[in-house]
Amino acid sequence: MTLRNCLLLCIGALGLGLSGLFAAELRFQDRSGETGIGFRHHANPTPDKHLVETMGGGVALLDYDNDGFLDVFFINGGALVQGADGLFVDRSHPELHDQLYRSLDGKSFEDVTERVGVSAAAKRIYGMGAATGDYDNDGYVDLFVTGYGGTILYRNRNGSTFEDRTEASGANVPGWSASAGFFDADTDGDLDLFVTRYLDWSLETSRPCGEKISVYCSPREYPAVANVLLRNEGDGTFSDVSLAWGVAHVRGKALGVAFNDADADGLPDVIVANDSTAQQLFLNRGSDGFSEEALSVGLAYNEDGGSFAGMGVDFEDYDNDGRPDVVATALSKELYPLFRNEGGGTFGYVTRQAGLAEITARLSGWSVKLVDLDHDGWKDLFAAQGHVLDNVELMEPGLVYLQPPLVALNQAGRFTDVSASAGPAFRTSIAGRGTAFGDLDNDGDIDLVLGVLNDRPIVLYSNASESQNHWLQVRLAGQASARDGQGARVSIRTSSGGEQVRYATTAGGYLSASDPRLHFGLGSESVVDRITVLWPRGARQVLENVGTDRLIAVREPKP
Amino acid sequence: MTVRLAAIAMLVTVLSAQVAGPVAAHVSRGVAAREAGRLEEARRELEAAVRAAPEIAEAHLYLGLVLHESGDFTAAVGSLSRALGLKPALPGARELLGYDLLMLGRAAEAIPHLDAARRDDPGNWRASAWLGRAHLEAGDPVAALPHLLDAQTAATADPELLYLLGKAYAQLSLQAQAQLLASAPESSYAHLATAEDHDFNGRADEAIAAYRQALAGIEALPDAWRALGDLERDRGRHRDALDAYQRALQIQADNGALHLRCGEALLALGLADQALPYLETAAGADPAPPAALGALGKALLDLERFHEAREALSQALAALRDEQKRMELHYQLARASRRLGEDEAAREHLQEFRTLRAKLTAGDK
Repeated sequence: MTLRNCLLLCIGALGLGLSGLFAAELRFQDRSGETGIGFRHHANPTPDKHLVETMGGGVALLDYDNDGFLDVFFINGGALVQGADGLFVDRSHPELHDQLYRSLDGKSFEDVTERVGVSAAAKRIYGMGAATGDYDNDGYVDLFVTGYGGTILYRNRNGSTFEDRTEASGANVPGWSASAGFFDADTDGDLDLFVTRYLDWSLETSRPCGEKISVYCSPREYPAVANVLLRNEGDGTFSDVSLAWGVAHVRGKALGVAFNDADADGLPDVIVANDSTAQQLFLNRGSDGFSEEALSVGLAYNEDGGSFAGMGVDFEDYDNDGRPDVVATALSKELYPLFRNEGGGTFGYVTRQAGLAEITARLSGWSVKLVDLDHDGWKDLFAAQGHVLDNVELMEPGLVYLQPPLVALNQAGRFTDVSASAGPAFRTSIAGRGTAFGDLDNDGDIDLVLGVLNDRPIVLYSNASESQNHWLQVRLAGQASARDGQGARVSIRTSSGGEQVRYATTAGGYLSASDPRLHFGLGSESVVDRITVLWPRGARQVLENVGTDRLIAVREPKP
Repeated sequence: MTVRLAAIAMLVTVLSAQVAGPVAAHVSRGVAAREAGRLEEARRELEAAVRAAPEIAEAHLYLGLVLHESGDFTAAVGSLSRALGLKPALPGARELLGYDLLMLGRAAEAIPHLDAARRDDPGNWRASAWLGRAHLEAGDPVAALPHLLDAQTAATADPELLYLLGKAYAQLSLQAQAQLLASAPESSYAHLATAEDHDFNGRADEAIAAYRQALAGIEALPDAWRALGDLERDRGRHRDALDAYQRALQIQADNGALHLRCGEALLALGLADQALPYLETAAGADPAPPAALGALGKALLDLERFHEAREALSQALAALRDEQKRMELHYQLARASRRLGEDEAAREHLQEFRTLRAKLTAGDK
């Protein structure tokens, strides 16, 4: 640790009321080869440069069998095959299947894809991402898969198999869907579903771009399209309320979605990352539905009013002021935009002030997450990276297609790139895409599974729990609210006055779904004075004097 | 720029006076065919004429003219050479021969003919221009330049002449640089020349390395520091850019553009408080550069000095006509107004922003 970093950290710790210092450097161990995970992503790129080929794929972490360990679901691409009526998506070959790996002990996994029925082998869907949530409130996490050509809703049957309920539930979203997320939009106690859609693009309208060199087209070449909001009717079906609730009035080129309560009114709001057009903030107006307010609150563009290629997005409080902020990834030279929630309904673009201009100027990012990787009480930044154009070197010298992932530690609101010391995986250039975050081995820290386009995923285990810093994880169980607790706001307060907030959601990042358990780094604080849970249905629950370095379960009081 | 034989009418008169009988008939039909644009017929008639009267230089010249106009430069060179063999001072023949030799890539042979044509008729700027071109093609830009400049005094805006002048300067530059690199390859100026070449050709990493080598030898090269800073800035390495700009500023302490660059680098690093004095200096010029005012406004926004930010941004907006910049300023002014609680002003700026943005992105789907 440099003297400057130490000073920043100490100042940060004072601000938070934490005094802990990270005893060892944060490192991630790449155990991809030891896990038994044999998945390999297949986008099957062609010389025709179909845009879908460069956009996938996602990863989901979910404990589908409730054994306490996170299982891993990978979304595959597909093959574009010429048929009598033109190109179609073929998923029949086993290497093109989605795959689910059941965790045996947090470190080794077995392929249960065929057994549980989530291969998508018979679908003509070019896979993109996944969302997780217990939409039927039966205590088992369900799975929603996005892609070009349709979507899939899998209902989890008692942790043993999944049942395809797409058609029966009305959850088939046409076109090209990207990131999606479950959230309780109307706070009625069951999870609704927000599905982003990328472009008005099809295999019929697909074409390469570029004059001398064939490249994937810019999204500017294709019309925008509306996102889809599906209301959970509570009987196992969904109805499309996109128009009625004000989501379909504005079109975009959406790739990422995240949820949080931007304006502290107790209702979940939606941030959507759009590629090369304005970002969208759907503010929840309760019975009046949603209104899109990104421009008026300062979230639509960068500080100069310029659009950027919004890919992944996260909606968390990076500066510990209790208000959710927004971070997104973008293409090289655009910088990763960070918007600070200023309160009073406005956001300020603080990319430069937070040190991200310096770090991200040449980077192209996909999945992004604000999560406390080193347990110091500040949410750090991770980004999966790689340019969208697989031949960008020919187009613009100085830019590169394959890029290592980024880990930047948050030191009192300013980020420092520590990738060089975080392990070999952070020095290896890849085409990173979706990433899921969670505690795979239940040791208290955040591990991650990084999806790689046309390659094997990377499974990274953190060493943060080996430091002297303390941690706490919270697993929510709703009763009046959604069973898995998504939408709850959890704040913790420590004896030294520091406060942190997390929002319960598995969404965020890019095409991926993460651990539903809420994770807090605590520095040297060995006791949490107070935990306050604001449940989506309105209940407020307080726990006091909670010990650390453990996972606690919090059940919502019965109404 | 095309070759025009100045005295075609006189040539025809002289030629016609020298021939009689069947030769005269061939010449007459040849001249008529050429004037009617029937060059193949003209060629046949004039070839018959020179076969019948090979001693008449004007007939060879006129045939050479027809061959030249037909694009058969090889045959034209033959006829024109024969004409000059018979009558070395034949008006117009040398310019035409020089041009046709040039067309055939025989620049060195063209030079004496074009030089003679220029001396015979000092007002013939085309001969000077062609002579310059011949020297260029012979690899001698030093010899070419005075002739091209001489021609330019008579034809200031001739596109081909301007192109040739540019080419001459470029060749001179390359020659000088080649000499520099050959005679003092490890000198700072050799590295500087290499850096500028890399920079011009978009090889940023190589340019940065060469600039650093140049500056390691001679520090008092403010333009090199500035160029290095710009390259580092474009690479996103704002600390390195700042260091380079500050080195330049040590040499040119009053340079407003350098103050602006230092301020912008510090802004990119999120250090608005440190950027402020640089930007205030840059914006303190009379008249204040709009770019400096805009950057100053941005720094003041960072520092949450919203009234002052609005003032600086408004001044920048008043001074700028560029629609992209105006769009950016309206967006920033909307933010300043919003933070000042001036919602109506914020709405107006956002409306202006929307209008300009819609116009500037009209090509997007």
